[in-house]
Amino acid sequence: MRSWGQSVGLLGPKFWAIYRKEGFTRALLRGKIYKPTHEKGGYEDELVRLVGTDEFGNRYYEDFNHHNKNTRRWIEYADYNKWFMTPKKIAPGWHGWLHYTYDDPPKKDNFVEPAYRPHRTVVFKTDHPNAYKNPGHLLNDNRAEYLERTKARKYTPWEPPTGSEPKDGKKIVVQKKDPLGQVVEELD
Amino acid sequence: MLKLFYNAAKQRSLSQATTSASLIRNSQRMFRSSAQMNQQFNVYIDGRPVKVDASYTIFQACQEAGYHILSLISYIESRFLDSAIMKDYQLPATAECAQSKQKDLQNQQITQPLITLQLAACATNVRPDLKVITKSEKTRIARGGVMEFLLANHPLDCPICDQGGECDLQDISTVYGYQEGRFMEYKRAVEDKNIGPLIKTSMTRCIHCTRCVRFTEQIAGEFTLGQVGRGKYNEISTYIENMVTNELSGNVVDLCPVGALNNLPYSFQARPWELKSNYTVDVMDGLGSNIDVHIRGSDTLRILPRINEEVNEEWISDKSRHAFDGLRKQRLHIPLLRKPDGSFGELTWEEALNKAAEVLSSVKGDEIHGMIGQFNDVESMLAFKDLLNRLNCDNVDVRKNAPHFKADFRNQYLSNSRIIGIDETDLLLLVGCNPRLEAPVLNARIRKAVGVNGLQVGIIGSATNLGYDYVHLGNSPKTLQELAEGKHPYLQQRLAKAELPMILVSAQTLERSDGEGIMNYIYKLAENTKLINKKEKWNGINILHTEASRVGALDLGIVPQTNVTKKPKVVYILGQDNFRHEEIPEDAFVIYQGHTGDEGAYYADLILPGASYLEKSALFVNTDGRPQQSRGAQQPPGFAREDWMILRALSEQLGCPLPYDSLDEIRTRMAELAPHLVRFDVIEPSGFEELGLKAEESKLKLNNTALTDNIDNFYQTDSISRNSMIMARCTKELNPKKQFNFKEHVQTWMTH
Amino acid sequence: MFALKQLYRGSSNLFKANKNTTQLFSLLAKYQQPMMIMNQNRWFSAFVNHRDTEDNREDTPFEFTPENYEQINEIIAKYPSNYKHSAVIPLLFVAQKQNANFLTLSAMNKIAKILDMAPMQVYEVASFYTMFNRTKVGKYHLQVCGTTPCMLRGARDVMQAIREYAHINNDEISEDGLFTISEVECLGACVNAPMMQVNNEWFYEDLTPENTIALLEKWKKGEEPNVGPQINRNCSEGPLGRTSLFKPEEIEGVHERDFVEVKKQYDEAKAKAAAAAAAAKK
Repeated sequence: MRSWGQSVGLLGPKFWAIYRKEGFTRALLRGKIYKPTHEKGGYEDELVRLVGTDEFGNRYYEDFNHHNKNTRRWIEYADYNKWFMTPKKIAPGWHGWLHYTYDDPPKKDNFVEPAYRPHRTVVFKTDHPNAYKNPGHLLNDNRAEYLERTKARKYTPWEPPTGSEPKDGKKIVVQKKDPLGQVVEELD
Repeated sequence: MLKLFYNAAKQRSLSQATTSASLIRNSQRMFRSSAQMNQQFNVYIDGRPVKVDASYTIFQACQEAGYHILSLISYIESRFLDSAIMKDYQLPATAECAQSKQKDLQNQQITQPLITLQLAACATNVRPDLKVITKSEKTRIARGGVMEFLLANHPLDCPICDQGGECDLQDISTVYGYQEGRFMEYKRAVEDKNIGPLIKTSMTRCIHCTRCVRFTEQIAGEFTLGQVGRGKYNEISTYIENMVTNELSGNVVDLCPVGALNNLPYSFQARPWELKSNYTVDVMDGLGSNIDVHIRGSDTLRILPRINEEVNEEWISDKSRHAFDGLRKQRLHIPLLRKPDGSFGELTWEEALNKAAEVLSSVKGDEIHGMIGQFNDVESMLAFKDLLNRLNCDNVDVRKNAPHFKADFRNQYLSNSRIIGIDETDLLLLVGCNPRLEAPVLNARIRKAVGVNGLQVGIIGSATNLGYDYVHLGNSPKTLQELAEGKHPYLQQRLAKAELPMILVSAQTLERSDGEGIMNYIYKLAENTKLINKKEKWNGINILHTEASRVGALDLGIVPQTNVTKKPKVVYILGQDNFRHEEIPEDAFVIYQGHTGDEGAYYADLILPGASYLEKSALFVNTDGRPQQSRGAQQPPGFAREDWMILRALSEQLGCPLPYDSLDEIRTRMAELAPHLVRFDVIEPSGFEELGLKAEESKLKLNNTALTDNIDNFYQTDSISRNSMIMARCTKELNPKKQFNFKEHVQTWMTH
Repeated sequence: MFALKQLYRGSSNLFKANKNTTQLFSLLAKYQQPMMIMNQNRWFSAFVNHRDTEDNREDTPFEFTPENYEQINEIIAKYPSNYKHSAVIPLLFVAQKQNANFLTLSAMNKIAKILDMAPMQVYEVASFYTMFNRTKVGKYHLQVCGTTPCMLRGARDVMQAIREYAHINNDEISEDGLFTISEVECLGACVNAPMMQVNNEWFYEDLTPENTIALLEKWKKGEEPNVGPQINRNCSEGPLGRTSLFKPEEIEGVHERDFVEVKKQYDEAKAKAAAAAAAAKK
């Protein structure tokens, strides 16, 4: 997938390359102005075919240039924009077409729904406020607790007697527990 | 490898002008005890002639020639399966050869037609004038094919597998494998097994090299793992629900070439390339196993063995491997002072040292008592001794519970025939010693000697499962008396006939009240037998120490003054946790210097935090007198410092500064006292075979009580392992199984 | 195990039901086929290891009968005393025969004790051979040969007939506890194919679905059918009848050689030759 709008930054190297070829205005337009990919994706900027759309609203394009023996297929996500850059879903049949598994785009007469359970329409929580954050994540609410735990992983200090324990001769008698939390009997 | 090692050892000992003829002799005997030598002939590896033994496989011949193959090499004996390696080699075909000879007699030319075969190098013996081609297109294809079969049922787990990065199969497939597999079918799946708290299993990854089975059977001596089923349904399994309970079980993790058996406590902790390795020495038993401590940042993540054929071969015990996590619990990290109400308050180092100096200088020298624990290095003990001597105190003791053996000469407390002596001895008598619990790696060596050299083992003590057959002579020390006095039939029938007999006494057995008597009866036994064989320069009297600090301290001469009757007013404990309650009077001021708040800390008035064995660069001397250097892997926690530095600072406060400021200087001082301690990894021969090993008639006294196992729970014996989470889990799951007795398999010597 | 089979059967129906499968799915279905054959086999991964059942656990009592102990002593005497464990396979057979063709865990432990082996080593041997039944089988364990000659002569039909008659699948026990059927490899009676072996002992040859069911019915009634060919045939004679070895005496003469006598003669001849040689030297 060629995405001119992304790669041609203003006054970047790509910008100057286009500027030298096509002039300032054209370069500015290429870089800034939104254009559907079928207008700018083709060989030497000829229009390419919009093959179809799926139930999620994604648009699928194909550029078949028989001179170059070159077939390019790409997708324009419906939910892709400047703010949300992780597109969610793609229909299984179209996925096969996009990855050159099937020659023809899926239609009712040539594609059969798979026998297994269809894909769940999972809502990815990547950009959601409730998304999973690993324990050391800066935005994790339990980060403080995690830091304490990592400290304990290094070492935990000896818990000295508090003064209320009984004494046997010189020794302070403390009910000792082993690392699994079981009370152990006294030595000797 | 072995050969190289011994050559190096020879050169080293010769260059230092110490007449260690016995070392050379030992090495020769080692070679004699190997398999019988057959005829020798030449084979040609890639055209280069190599002279090899007829018993060699092509694989071994290639190694001899210096052509090393990444492979699944066996650690054990010669029975191994290595299907990954194929060889392309040529040999004369006998029938055709004869015909061509007849024909060519007229032409006066002899030509031999050659046929080319591809064979598994590890499973085929060499034959005369064999021509081996290691690099050819055909061989490359064959190796790739074998690799394809190995990978056919191996899951593509590498990204989530703990073995990733140190996996033999990964390495081999990188070198020999094809870029792509052609396997389209389903991979098989095998259920995981529960074989204990130390080993994690993912049996789908297993490629059935059976190293784990052969290790547990041949080296650890336990028959729990096996190869069950056949063909596609072949599994490594325990068949019934069973656990691998031996003390060396952690080693199967190192053996496993794939990720089928993994280190359970370490699982999903780190990747091998994140780790930094530190070569150091283990202190969990008296053997001084060489270990490799892997750290990431400041965390110790795992401990692996290092190869040292003269100490631990390539194994370490489970306690050495896993007990280090006890160092994360109950650490002393700041100086503490007990208040009048019994609680503890934190101090700065300056305050703590001032307090200690104040207390120590307020009493007379003979009112101070110093106790040294089991994890201390030679440097700290030296500083401790020097400091207390400057205060006119000589009551310093490393021998807990006052074990009764003399320490005037070096051969009175060492394992005189050394650890490698087990490989050459022909009779071993264990007196009150259970090597399986006291030094598991040594027990593996004994088992090897029983299997390979036909070593006879006799036991006076409790009859437990050691993994090999032995003769049980009796439970009580009276049996030893009968042996020494010549009344026992075992003496005439076996012991007196043995050329190089060996006695192993546990140092903990000598802590009994009749320890002195036991030692003297052993000396007396030496008069009737060849225990001290002057002709062969052999001294077979061995004491097996279980504490890492003890031999080093005795080498420094840290022995208490005789007849100390005065009650101490100040007790200075250097990391000792296994003392008796009576040894510390109620009104004494106790200074505890150590790393873990275990038993000793509850007696203390003043606590000075020290460093553990993973946190200091120091010297440890093992049970056969080999000084070995440890290197600190991590920093001591909090305000804790290395022990000898604390003592040095304390001497400054006391107004009698010790004359060393750095590690080099303290080792120079050490060389003044005991020069052999600074020759690392070399055992200094004591030289006096018989001196001090004479029985004294007045001390030949024995009790009637039976000799029992000194250790009832292998997993929790000291302050570190008592605080270890993993060792606690082992105790819970494995120890009940250890209680059973194997007396059915033990011959009992009929005495009366 | 049965539930698992159902599961796989269910999945196969699912593939069959879809008539409109594309090329991709038909390819997948092709690969599914060997999987299904595999699952008819008893020895798949989960069943290699021991699972405690009511009649097979570590504390299930097992003891050899006195007659079998005599037999065991005979077997062990064949091997050197330090290689006693060579007798493990014959002993496993003795144990299996005693216990109605069912080799329990306790029997294996007993054998380990007798032969001074580790129990694990006995488990390894027992699980390697398919002839040892580590799960319970019926009173008549029908081992139908499925190798090429028998298969060509209709072994599959025979098996199908048995399955339908007893309402069992391979390696299952029928409801009355009488029959278990399993497919085995060549048993060396190819001249009389197809054939089956019952309880590791008796051969029933020249089977057809009809006479096989007749056999099963006889067993069900408690009768003992004749062993051997089930059609009108004597031993393995061809259609022309016996063509050689007409006299039974000739056959007996060959088989009843007195080897002790032969040995004696051989020794005498040897001694004579030695004496002659000694005389010649002098």
